[in-house]
Amino acid sequence: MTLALAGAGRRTRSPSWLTLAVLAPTLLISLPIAYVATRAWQVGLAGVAEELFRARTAELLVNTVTLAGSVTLLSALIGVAVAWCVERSDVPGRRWWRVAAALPLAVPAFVASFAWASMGVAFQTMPGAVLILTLSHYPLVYLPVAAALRGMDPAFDDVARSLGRTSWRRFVSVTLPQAWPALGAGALLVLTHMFAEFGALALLRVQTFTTAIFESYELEFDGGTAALQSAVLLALALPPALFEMKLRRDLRFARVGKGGRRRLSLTPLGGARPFVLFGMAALIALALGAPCAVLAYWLAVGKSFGHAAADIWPAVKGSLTLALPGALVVTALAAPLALAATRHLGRLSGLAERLPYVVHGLPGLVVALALVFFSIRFFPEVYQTVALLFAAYAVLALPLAQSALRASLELAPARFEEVARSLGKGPVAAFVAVTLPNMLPGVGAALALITLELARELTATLMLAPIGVTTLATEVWSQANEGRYAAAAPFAALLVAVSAIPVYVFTRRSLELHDL
Amino acid sequence: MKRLDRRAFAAGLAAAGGAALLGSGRSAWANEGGALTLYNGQHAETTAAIVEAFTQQTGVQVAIRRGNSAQLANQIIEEGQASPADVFYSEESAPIAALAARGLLAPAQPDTIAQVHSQFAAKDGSWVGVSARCRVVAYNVDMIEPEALPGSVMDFANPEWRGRVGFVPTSGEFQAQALAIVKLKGREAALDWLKGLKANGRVYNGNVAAVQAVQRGEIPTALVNNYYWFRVADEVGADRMKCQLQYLGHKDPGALVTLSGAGILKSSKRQELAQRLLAFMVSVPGQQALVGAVAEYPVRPDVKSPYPLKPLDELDPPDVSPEDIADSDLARDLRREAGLA
Amino acid sequence: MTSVRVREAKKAFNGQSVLRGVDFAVRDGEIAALLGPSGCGKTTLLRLIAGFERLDGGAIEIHGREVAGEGLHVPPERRRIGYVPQEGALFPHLTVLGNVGFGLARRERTRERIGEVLALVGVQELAERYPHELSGGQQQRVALARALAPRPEIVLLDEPFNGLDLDLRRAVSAEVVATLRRSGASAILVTHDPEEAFASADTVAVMNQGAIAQQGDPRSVYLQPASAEVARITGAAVFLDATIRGAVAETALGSMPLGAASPGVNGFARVCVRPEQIVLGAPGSGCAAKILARSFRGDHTVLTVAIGEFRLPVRAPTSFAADASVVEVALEGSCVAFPR
Repeated sequence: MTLALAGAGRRTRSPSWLTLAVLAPTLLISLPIAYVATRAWQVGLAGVAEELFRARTAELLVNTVTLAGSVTLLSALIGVAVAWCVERSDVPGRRWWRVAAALPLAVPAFVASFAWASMGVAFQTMPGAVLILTLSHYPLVYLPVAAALRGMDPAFDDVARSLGRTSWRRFVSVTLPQAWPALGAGALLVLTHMFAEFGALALLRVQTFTTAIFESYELEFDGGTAALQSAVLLALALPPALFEMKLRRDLRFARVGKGGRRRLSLTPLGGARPFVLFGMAALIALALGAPCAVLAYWLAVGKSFGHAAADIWPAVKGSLTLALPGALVVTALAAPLALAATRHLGRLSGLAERLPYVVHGLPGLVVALALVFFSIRFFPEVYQTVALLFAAYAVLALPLAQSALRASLELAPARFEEVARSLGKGPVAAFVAVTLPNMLPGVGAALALITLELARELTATLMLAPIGVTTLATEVWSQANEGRYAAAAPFAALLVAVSAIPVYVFTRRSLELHDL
Repeated sequence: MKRLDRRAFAAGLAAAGGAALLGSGRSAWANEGGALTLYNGQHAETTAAIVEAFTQQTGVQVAIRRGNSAQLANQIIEEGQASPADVFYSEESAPIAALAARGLLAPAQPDTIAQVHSQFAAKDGSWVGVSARCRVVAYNVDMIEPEALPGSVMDFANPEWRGRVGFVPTSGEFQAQALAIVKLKGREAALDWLKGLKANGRVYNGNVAAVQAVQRGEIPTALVNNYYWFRVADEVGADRMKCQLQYLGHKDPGALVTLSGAGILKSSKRQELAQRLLAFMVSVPGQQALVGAVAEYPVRPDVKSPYPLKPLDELDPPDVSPEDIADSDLARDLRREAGLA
Repeated sequence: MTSVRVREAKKAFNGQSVLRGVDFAVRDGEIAALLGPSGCGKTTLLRLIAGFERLDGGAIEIHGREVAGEGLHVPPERRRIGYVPQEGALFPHLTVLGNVGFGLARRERTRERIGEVLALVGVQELAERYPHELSGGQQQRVALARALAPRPEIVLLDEPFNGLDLDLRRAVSAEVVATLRRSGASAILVTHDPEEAFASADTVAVMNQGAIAQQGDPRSVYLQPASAEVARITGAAVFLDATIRGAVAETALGSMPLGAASPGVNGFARVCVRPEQIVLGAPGSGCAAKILARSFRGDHTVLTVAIGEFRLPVRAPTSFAADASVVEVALEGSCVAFPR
């Protein structure tokens, strides 16, 4: 342990190539911030004060914090509980549950919300929204925590047991503290997702800063109000992002050494087994069953079925050609951030690593408009090309890649690269030959998660994609917008099916990470 | 083996990344001088029908960017002089009026304006209405008798409607209705009406959602546009509609007729072609393509909608011009004072 | 000819000085050990020689070529070094073959050449295995093979046996040293274990608080430590108050000759005695002591005895009488004196 500490103290300044590589994503990420600042500046100080101290702002603040806080807390509870059941208890069918528990991630929140909203007004409330969004977001906590529980050294558990700790106290005093970093990373993603959520909340009739931003753009055309509301969102996302970094930094040294090769002992559930089984079945039925039932209902009842059949293939093609290469670009941009953060954590690289998480709380509309603003002024050549769209995707999805990459980078310590350099490889060659191959599981996980996120991205795609390109998400929007739910259903079903593949890959990858 | 797989994977990654970068070289400006670029906030099919007829007649290709009208307008404002858009077709009048107010639109040719009813274009000719529709009250026949509906939309602000009316404050047409009340009955009346609705009503995020809520029996009435009824009826079958429409008439603000309109960007480098498209949109073939695709009123008297719409001359709308309902700053102030935003 | 020469090396981390002007040299073909407690700067010195860190001041030469100094920093990949880190750090995605071949130029990366190196460390049969399929000792041997494969000027070993259990540790370190000798390479071994340092190295540099406190062959640093700290770092030490008269120290346990390393100390002083120099004497030959405790160690027994107020450990044979309560204690050999 002391050796690890000494090693950490020796953390070096990042080499210049890495500094350069960190610069690109950092620059991109700062564009929306600069845009929000520019537009807010135009409102003037008096306007800022007036906007911030309106009763409406307080109302939105309460709603946003209530929603995001509740969903994050509930997702953390459910995510940790499910992860524990799947990884550390003797619940029957663990392999099956392991994947099933992640699948709700494949259902876009707006599809789930539509399903629930049409079932009754009771769901079109704050508690309803919290329930529905928790059901579609808990896997963001479940996946990293499950991976952490799996990779944990069984020795800790054995020691606690020898000290007479019961199963529950062992969980609280030994298991949970080791899972903190994973839990913190997952919870931060859920929180910032909630800040940025629009589609689902519009359907569930809950007003947050993001829905207010969309409203402002709907009815006002100077962007001032929206900019101020965006600024509040950024300010809201900053403290949790910093807190999560601190959490991870404090616990960095607790994770030295490889996890044991021995299998973890499973806690027998005993009499609680039927309840656990029922609980997990109910959770997945609610999270997956309800949206699927509604899709089936649309198909059965709607008269517009088959209406847009000819658009299906172009949309699938559009989704794949944007989401897959987009995921590659985002992952490539995230890699230096993750690398700098795990190897050369200083004040600056710390900030560069955190910024994407803060901006992750901004709605896609603001990010898209920011890129419109800057690209048309400074890089008109890339405007409405795939290149600009990918830049927008990067701003929207970097943190997902960062979290996945960081986990695998921690398994490829800097020592590997030092050995490679002692054997005559230059810094870049050493990275390519040694670090990159060991990051691949994390790269796979990052690609899967981002493909998922990008496949359902709507606003930036509509604004920035090359003209005429459609995706499954834009078609769902277009058909549902016109009330043609049966026509939308095949697109939505395909979107879920296409998303299920990356979820499956991601689940296998992230769980295997610690099996290496 | 394992090693080979990883190599292959890495090579695959590199190849895909390279392909993505090459693909990105395709610029939006590649079609300069060629096709027209239309930013379309109107329903995709309506626009597709018109554009198809236009291309058939003229041979001019039109590239269409779809989106939400207000978001497209915001995008055009950010794009400024460099906007790739030649023509903007808005589902509602507020977004296009906002572009006109910022001086971003080039006037339509007088010939084009002359094609439509004088109330159906901006006075300064900056944009022209392409279709018209009417504000209505949607109600659920199982929940309320048509006789029990109020004679004026103003009445929905009264306490007896508490919890019984749905509305869509984010819709441009609702803003237009509030501004029409300002014009007809004064600012105070409009503010009181908005406050009353906030107290009584259930907010929906879209007109389709509101009509569906009425259809499901979630709420007895909703303030919407007439054509949304036809959308939902198309989907569930007209014979199964529990939701019906009440036209208020009597020059009531609840009978307001509004426009979906189009205009030409001042920054467009293809002014002549753009003018041709705009003229086509309000021409007989253009309007015929339109009325077949959407249950809205044509803007010229010599074209008839195939939908069973209440005839335009029986609507008896209030006397309000497009300029009267275009002040988005006033609308924002009212919304804020009423606590709706 | 020297293999490595370090002059006046200085290094600080975050304003904290870790090396304060270190001078250190290793001759060709020699194995040197850097011995010291944790935090003394020994690993930093090794990493500076490897080139993983940049010098703040001073200079480093490898084989007569300056690799670090004023405005100069040759990157590690151009220093022709071999590096064996803690726990080996074998690349988990490569087989043994891949690991050992890693540092070889493409045309040299033949099965024969790699097999040759694997034979040197005695693990040729493991060529196709992945690191997680190897035992700890095998991993270390492969790590050494990987470092030796490109025929480096010098091999740097950073506490390489730390992860191994004690038994294995002695065996593996003996093998590694034998291999290094066969290969003819010079080596620097960082360790905090004096026994490992003495067993492996031709020269031992004792480091303390960022400086080299003493460098010499194992015998001299053990038997004639330059300071009390060096005495402590190099093994167990017992300090006795003494009066120095000429070349003789007079202690409560009797008098003892001074070794060559304590000139100029006179009058009251402390002398350092190694535990094995305190022995049981024949009756009348030493000083009577009372037995306070006994600790059975298998091949010997350690008695804790008291002479007046003074307590000290004494080694006794296993057969030592169980009922004895008083023993006679004597000193053997020579000692080193330090001013009090």
